[in-house]
Amino acid sequence: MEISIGERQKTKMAIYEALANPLAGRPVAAPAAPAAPGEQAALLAEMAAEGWPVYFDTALAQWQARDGRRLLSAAEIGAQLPTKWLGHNLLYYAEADSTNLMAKLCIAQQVPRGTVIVAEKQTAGRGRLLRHWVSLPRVGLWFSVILSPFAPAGAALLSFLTAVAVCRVIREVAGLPAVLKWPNDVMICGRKVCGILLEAGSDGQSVIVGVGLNVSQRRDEFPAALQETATSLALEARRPFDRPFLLAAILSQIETRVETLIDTGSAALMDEYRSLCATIGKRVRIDFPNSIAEYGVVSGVADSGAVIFIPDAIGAGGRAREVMAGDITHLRTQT
Amino acid sequence: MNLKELKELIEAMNRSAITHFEMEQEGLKLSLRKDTALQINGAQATAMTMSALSPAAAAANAPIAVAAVPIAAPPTAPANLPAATAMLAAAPAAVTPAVVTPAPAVEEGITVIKSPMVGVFYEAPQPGAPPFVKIGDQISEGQVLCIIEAMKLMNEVQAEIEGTIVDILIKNEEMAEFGQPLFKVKIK
Repeated sequence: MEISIGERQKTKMAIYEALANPLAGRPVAAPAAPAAPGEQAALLAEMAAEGWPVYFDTALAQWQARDGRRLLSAAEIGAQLPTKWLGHNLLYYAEADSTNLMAKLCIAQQVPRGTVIVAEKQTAGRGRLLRHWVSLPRVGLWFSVILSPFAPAGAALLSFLTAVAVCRVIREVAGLPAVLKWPNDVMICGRKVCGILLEAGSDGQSVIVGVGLNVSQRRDEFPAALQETATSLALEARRPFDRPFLLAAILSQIETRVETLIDTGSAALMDEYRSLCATIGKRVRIDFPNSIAEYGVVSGVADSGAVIFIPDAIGAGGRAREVMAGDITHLRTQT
Repeated sequence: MNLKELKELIEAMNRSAITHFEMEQEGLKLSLRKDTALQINGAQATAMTMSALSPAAAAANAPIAVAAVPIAAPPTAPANLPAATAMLAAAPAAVTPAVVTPAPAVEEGITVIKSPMVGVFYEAPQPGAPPFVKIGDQISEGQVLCIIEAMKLMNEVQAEIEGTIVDILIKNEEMAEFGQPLFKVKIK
């Protein structure tokens, strides 16, 4: 399944190419539909709000294109952070084993609430049960957020909160039909674009939220084994994205939701989660940690965050039960 | 003090604004502490009524951490002590029914490490890897003993004491309830 690209985006792409090519030294492509100057400025403003790597240079009084694959910098991210507290202490590493591991070390040193750790490249990025997470430089956002105070038993909600925040940004900024696969994978057209792994801090009240978001990878930049199951924003939207803009937008969405969660509880969060969760109503296979696989239907997500699973009736089966851990695979409905 | 009295005490404290309570009586020292930080106890976590995250609700529902320690622990330890420990594990179950494993009888020099949340117990960092600890292993403070997972939140359970693992009370990849005993440790 592919997302159709409209004429408007073709025009935007032409504008971006025209701006970017002098910088990159590539041959100028003929714009698909040249926009008039006034219209072009309006389109550029729209592009900036959609996370294209363009900005208005006030000194030169003109629009400029950036390289969507330039290196990140703490200063550049900080300059556009709209948050009240989240990410105000931002630590940037050109390379880290994993940002979650750095976060653990940070907690031991009692860093302030809302510290964010960003790495350009992770040498040992990992997912659940130490599954490898490929995190090359320049093409993704690999970061960890330290949130507190959340005791371990209540912290699992942050798993949903982060997934909802990333999903919202992808929908609103990138305009892509992102959905969630329980518990917290962000998917576009059946492919995973973002993985989230939480770890309880050793101080008993901090939670590390690790996020890996694929932004700019081309298909051939994923390992062969992942080419069918992983995707990036640029691949799906077929246009470049600016990583500092996306990071600022995600942190802003996380902050808003953490404040709402603390002030008014989880009802709004779980409602929003359910509205974005594509697992609900699907036929699924659940691979449980004990290597047993079961087939059935997910009828909903409980307030606890557990999926309500109705296994296919075999013997005494067929009764709904809540599942809190396991790998879910969405199955195609038979027609 | 019998279980009923203890339960009443916990409930009374739960309803009140008191966050800390201590008493001594007949060889039993009781210390009740209500944590007003964002905590949800295990039984509630099964239903995880996150309304408990609102400050008012948190104050009302915050779990009460209880420590019952024998004074000068005579060899004939108070018979009500193990029962009291079991009671403490069962107390949250009054809110939401949950499977609560009775705490094992208290043995001399032995402590039990319990699960901090509801989730799956992993003995190793990844499938097929050697377990963090085995029976007979010496453990030191801060050492990771296992991982408990719920909904992609991984919680490394660390040792808070030095000692020797004498028993592992749960199997790899089984569900652990809040407060369920995981390890028996002989204190060094």
